[in-house]
Amino acid sequence: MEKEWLLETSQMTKQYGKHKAVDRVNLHVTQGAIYGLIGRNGAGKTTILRMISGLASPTQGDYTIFGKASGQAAMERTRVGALIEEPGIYPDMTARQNLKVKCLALGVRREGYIEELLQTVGLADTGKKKASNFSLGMRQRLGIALALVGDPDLLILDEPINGLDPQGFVEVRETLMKLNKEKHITIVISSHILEELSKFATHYGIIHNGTLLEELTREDLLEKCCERIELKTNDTGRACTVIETMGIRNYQVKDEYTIHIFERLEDSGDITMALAKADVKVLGIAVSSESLEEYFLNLTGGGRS
Amino acid sequence: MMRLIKMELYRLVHAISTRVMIIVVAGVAVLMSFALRMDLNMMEAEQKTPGQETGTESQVPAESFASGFSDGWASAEEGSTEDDFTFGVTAQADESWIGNDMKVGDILMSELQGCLLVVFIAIFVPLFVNAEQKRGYIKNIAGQIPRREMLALSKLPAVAVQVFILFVVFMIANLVSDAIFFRGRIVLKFTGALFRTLGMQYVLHAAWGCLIALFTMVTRSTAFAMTTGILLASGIVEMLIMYLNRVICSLLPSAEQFNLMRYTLNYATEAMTVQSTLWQIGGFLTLALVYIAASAVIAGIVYRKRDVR
Repeated sequence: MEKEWLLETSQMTKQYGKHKAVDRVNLHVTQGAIYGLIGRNGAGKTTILRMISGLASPTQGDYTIFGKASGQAAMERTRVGALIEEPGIYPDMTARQNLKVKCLALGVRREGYIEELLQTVGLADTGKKKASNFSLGMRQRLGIALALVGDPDLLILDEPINGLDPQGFVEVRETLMKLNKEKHITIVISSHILEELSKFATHYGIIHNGTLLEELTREDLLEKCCERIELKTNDTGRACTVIETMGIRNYQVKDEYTIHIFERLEDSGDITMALAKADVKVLGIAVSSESLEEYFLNLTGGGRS
Repeated sequence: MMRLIKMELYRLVHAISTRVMIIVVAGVAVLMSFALRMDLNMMEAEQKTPGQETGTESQVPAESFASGFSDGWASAEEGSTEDDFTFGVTAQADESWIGNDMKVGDILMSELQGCLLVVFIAIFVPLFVNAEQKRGYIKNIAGQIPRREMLALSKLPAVAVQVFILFVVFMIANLVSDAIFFRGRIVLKFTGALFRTLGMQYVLHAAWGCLIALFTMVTRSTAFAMTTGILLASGIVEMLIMYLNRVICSLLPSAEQFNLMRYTLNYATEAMTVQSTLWQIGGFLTLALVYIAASAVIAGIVYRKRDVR
């Protein structure tokens, strides 16, 4: 059975003149995920988010949201809260007044609703302080609160952690994790800093020059980036038997010739000897590791450019 | 739609620009009264000096702040009193006021007809309308509004309210300052005709507001809308309209009597007086409604079709 996506793009393209800002992107977002869209500045992240939040139309391709094609999804998009590019707040208003503006627009009249939202994002004690006097972190959290008006099921956040100090980042991250865990809100969040997103995103889409290079889960990413012995052999079946007799259990057969071993990283010499004794040819063995940033840079060709 | 109008009104009430607008407009209304007082003093002094010419009316010094200028084209060509109007931001002191009682309605109308309030509309309407765009708020809301054109349409009632506030503050400040500067000479006579004229002037000014809001929404630029609005109010753009009119007349000999100027808000604002007939008022009302409707339709289409930035 085909998997049901909460959001799925199909060959989605956005072209400005001759420049393709987004080129045939196929994103897949599941219900309950925190989907991190990673790419350098100008990679096309904001354009993708603008299209899926209904602010711009794709030049080619399409997307479905809550099971509806973009053209028929006007009502479904009312379930999408967005914070695109900037928090979108009125600086001469208080946090409460800013939220009141959006509540009026969406017809939200529930008693205590604004206080509840302020509580959720940790701005309940801002009182009559104007938004112009807020720190960047507070503004971002107010932006998130604005996106939460109307109780959306999908939250689209464009670089909400950009420019935040470590404390601000922790505040925003905890807010988002709480929303995801307690209110089951699916979140699509963009950033150019993989290291930061890796602390809470469950799925990743890596975009470069408007093209989606790779989609992977948190587990995939950690596996790709963790330290391991990469063993190349002509007979993975017999090699597995040998390494199991050595007491190694944490390993994975990646393909016909490759095994990744995640423990006893200092014993590569012993492994080679044991395989040789068992007459298993070793084509190559090396300890490798890649930081998240290195992985991202290698994928996007960052080191070369 | 009602929700969005409520949102815009809430925003209007809480915007700092609204408070600034009230203070500035009230202040300028007082200055205008003071300038009128000075002008009348000068005219009286001129009358007492033998051998000096006096015109039927003169412009108060206050006009200079927004480059008012007279244009004799319409009157020279048409020769009718209806077309004998002055372009630009002016307030005219009537010679008959010298040493005589002054009707409050005449003073108010002289300032309204001079497009002074239109200059304020050109300044404060773009500030209000474009705040949503400038602050990025529109990007947070546009996706959640199923019919995006409503975002544009809901602004127009709010602009009408903004113009109403501006209008009322200007009137009150004018009345109070006139009562002070022309103590003992001012005649507070509020007739039905005066109310009708003020009401029609309000509708015309609301149409100005909608037109300037349209410029703001289409260009997304406060500076452009302000500049265009001020140029329109000061009559500079009217020269282009005159030129266009001449081109039309030269291309279509049958349209020799056609006067494009009559279809401008400048003309209607200038020509709408207490003496206007019901027929003329009907024409001005139609003109204002056409401008309002056209602004609404164009802004709605632009918002619906264009990507939100």
